[in-house]
Parts: sequence; C-alpha cells; structure tokens
Amino acid sequence: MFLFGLFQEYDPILRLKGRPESIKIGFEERNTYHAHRPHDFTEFYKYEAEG
Amino acid sequence: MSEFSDRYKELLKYYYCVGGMPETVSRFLERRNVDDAREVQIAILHQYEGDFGKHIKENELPRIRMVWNSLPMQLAKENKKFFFGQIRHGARQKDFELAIQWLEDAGLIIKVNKVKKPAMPLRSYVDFSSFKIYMVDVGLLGALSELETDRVIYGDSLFSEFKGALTEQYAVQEIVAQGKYTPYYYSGEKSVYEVDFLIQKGKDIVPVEVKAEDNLRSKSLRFYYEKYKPGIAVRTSAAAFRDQEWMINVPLWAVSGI
Repeated sequence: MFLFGLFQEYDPILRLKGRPESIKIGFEERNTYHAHRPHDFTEFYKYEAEG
Repeated sequence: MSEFSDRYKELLKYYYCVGGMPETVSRFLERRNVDDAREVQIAILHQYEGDFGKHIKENELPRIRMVWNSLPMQLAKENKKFFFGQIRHGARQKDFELAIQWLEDAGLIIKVNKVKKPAMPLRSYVDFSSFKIYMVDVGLLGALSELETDRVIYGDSLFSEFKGALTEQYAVQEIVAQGKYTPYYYSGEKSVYEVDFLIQKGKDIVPVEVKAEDNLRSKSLRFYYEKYKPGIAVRTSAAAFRDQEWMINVPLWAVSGI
C-alpha cells in the first residue's frame, strides 16, 4: 500500500506501464495532460474479432 | 448485411459498456467480461481525480470536481445543454469557465458549442454561452454514472432514459475520432427544435440527429431541413441504412462513416 502510494506520487507516466503504445499522454508546459485517446468502435470490433 | 448488422449491434452494446480506453479494452478482451472492464474504468477515474489535485491550483480544484461530477446529471437530461444550476444552486458561468477549459485542455471532455445560426464557417457563429459537455469515452461515462452494465447489454426499461445519453456520447466520440470534424449543435428560436449535432463537411453543413432506438420520428431534423434545406441530413439510429431522399438513416454502428 505504501509503495503504491509512493508510485502514485511519482506521476502519471509511471502508470502507463503495460498499456498499449497507442496511448498518448504527455505533459505540456501548462502542466495539463492529454487523456489517453479512446479506441473508436471500428478499432474495438477489430480487436474483438482478432482477440 | 443483416447478419453483419446484428453482430455489430450486439458488439455496440458491449462498446457502450467497455468504451475505448486502451487498457479497458485489453482487460475486457482477456475474458470477455464487462466487469473486468469496469474495474479498470473505476481505476482510471480515480487516477483522473488524483491528477486534478496534482496539477490544479487549490482554489480551482473544487470547481473542477463539481463540473466533472455533474456530467452524468447533465447528460441524463432530455436537453443535454450544460446547465450551471446543476453544478450547484446559483452557480454562474464565469465562476466555472476555467474549470471547464482545464478539463477540455486535458482531453477529458468534449465540449460541443451551440452556433447562433447554421452558416459557413460554423466556427464564426459560436454562441459561447451555450454548450453541451460530453466525456472523452462512453465507457467512462457509464462508470462515472455507476450504470449497471447488465442493463445496457440485456436491456432494461429503467435504463431507457439514460440510453439517450450513452448514444449521444458514443456518436460525438465517433465523430471526433475521425479527426476531420468539430461538432456543434443548433437549436431554433425559443428552442422549439434542436439538432443534436452540426458538422461542416466540405461545402455542406450536415445536421446529425442521434436516436437511441429505431424510433423513426425525426421532427426536429425535419423542421431544420424544411427551413435550411441542407444538401444532406443524417439520422443515426438503431434502424438499418435507409435513404429517404431528404435524409439518410445511418445505423449507429456505422456512424463513423458519415
């Protein structure tokens, strides 16, 4: 629990570990971040068919 | 075609629950279990809330949380226009402008502005005082709303009202995902009718009406069509593709093809 808290403090880049590369997240100078771009429905059903 | 259509419609119900966040999709695909997807969505929402506290000035933080948490209520209304009174009693636009801008800059919401008139270029006619706010992902909207996934997948009359919210959320997300269009909306004088979305496509301004079911009444779209005679009018609904001369019906699962 303590370690988890420590990592949380370490910032969002860390929590991306293991997520698909399509996730785009980056901090800008204004200290805002871009959310992960959601897959659209077309991508979803392609993954579904492949999976 | 019908065989494909049934399959896509079925998958669309799952997409309403799972959404498109990459990790959520990955987790769902491991066991085809929507509850697994919901766990990830809840974690993502917690991370967002945690990030609010990290990157926002302390005095702005409560406002951002209030806007964020009001989104399910805002979208559950028949009229999806963002209503400041639903954030808190007596809330004013100027007090929440920064909060909304931050959420938009962060990519957590999709803000759809009203236009004063449906003319080219749409951006020039934005009415900054009226807008609708959607979340970035339909699955996250379901999670933030604590909507039971079984109701979406197996159907439930109690859920019928919120289905409109999920469907509009899905439609706007698909429009934005194409990266070509900025969606706006329009309502006639005294709001006697409202067109869910307007998009500028080449030389046309295309009105788009979103219907959750296969209900084929399109009073508002018809009203708009009669008044402005657009080159093309689109309704997206659970019904099959249909060309009705003045309007085409595009199945919801194919809305990205607009």
